Amino acid sequence: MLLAVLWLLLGWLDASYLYRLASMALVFGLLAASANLITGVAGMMTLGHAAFYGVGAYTSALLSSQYQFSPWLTLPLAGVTAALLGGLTAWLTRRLVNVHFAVATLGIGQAVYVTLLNWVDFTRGPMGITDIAPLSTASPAINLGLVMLVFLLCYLVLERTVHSYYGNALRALREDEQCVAAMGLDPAKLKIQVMVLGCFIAGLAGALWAYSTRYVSPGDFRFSESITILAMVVIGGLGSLPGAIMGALLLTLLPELLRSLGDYRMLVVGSIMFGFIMFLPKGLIGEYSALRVFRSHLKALEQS
Amino acid sequence: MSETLLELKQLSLSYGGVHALEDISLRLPAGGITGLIGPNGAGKTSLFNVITGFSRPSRGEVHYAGQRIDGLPVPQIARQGIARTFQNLRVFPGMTVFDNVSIGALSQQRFGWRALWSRQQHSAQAVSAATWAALRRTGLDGLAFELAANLSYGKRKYLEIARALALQPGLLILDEPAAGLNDSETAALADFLGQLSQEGLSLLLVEHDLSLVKKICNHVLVLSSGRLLAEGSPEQVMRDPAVITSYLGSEEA
Repeated sequence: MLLAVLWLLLGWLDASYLYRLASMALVFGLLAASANLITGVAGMMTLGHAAFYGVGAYTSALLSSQYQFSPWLTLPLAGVTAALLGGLTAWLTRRLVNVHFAVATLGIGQAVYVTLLNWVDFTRGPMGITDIAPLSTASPAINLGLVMLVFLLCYLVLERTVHSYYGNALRALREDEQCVAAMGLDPAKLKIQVMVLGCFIAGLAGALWAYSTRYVSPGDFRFSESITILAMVVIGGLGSLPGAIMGALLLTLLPELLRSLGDYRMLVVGSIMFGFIMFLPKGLIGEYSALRVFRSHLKALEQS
Repeated sequence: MSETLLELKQLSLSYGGVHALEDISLRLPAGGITGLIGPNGAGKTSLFNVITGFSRPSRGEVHYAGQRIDGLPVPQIARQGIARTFQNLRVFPGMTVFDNVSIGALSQQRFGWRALWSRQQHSAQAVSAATWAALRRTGLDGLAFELAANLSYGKRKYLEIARALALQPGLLILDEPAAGLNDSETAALADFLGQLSQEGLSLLLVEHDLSLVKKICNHVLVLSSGRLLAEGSPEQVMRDPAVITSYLGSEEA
């Protein structure tokens, strides 16, 4: 609903800058939402989310520009490639917890970044890949609409995953892994499933990024991007899906709104982030409030 | 004796050179409450860990309901019907009471992806029904949507039991259920465990409070330095000279 209004408004304004900004916000919305599934809900602190995002972006960019795949076909392929890497990472690290898992994902993030940068024959290295075809040749408005469509589908999948009994199992994994095992659920299996789904969506986000900006380079998938994504999740509220989207909107739009501040811009953004964490440690929309709908459904069940 | 629920055959557990358990063989009949007592470091928690799969025995076998379970992964043993609580109260603090208990109910369902899409789906309804049943059974239904972290210590004990009950176990293993409770809370817990037993659930518990053991257990196992020192009815065991010297004697001296 809101997205439709936004789409009409942007169509009326017809400014390509705004289209780019809107796609960027949506792409980061997906990244934050998927990182929230992994880090906020399941408690697996990932410092390498940009790696899966980058793998998705390069998969779609290379397939469509070098091998003439149709953009639509590369979307699922980008997701699958990222999901495979995510699943493999989770399988290898299934016994690691907390900071050990974080460092492992940090390693994956660096490995992917360095590969994108140095495997020049395949990725064209620091020059990046230019002239990526758009999702559709119709108009920028249609393209943005398509990004919105993918965003909505992913959001729906995440919403159902997080606000369900399965989501409860993931939250329990975050709280106490051994206890989850003692309750008959396999923590390793849950971790792998979470990484596969979260990284699939990060890969899709990467493909959307490639088709929106029509240019990808390794710099887009640096460690600092992983940290920005993590900051979006924390500011929005760890474990809260609507919070993650809010956090992504805030941290993509704020730097743009503050452009007039020039050199002071990132200083102000940093201070605002600091303020949010100091005064809203549970995030813009905390997990407890985000799960309200699910809870009211349970209350209704009890009465029936 | 009625049919055997749990059987340990020549069970040993050692870490490096330390023998936590040595050559323990015993049969636990179905039904009733079995108490496991012994001085600190006797191997009580080690025995629980071996039964529930948290530790692998170095030698020997564990059979539950006619099936060999030693060496199986922890979740699989739980799904076969052995639920446990922990010595140091382990609830999921950041989740509501309802959500805590639903974790126990989940593993009894074949929980397919379809259940995510429809909350009316059969498996989701079964989880909710089993969760509410366990909450009512433990008197926590009024607190269902409270965060577990906000519960009193005593209530959290019941929450841990409710979560285990939601698994619909055949054997419930409790590690020091009365630790930290005052006299009236202990008495209430004893009544509650007695009721569970009358409803057909088999219980195995480690307990330091010997008066509680005398009151509710119909069978007692005594461990000392990793060995099974004695077993029998509470009266028999507490008259056993070996038990008195190794355990009771040291406490009453």
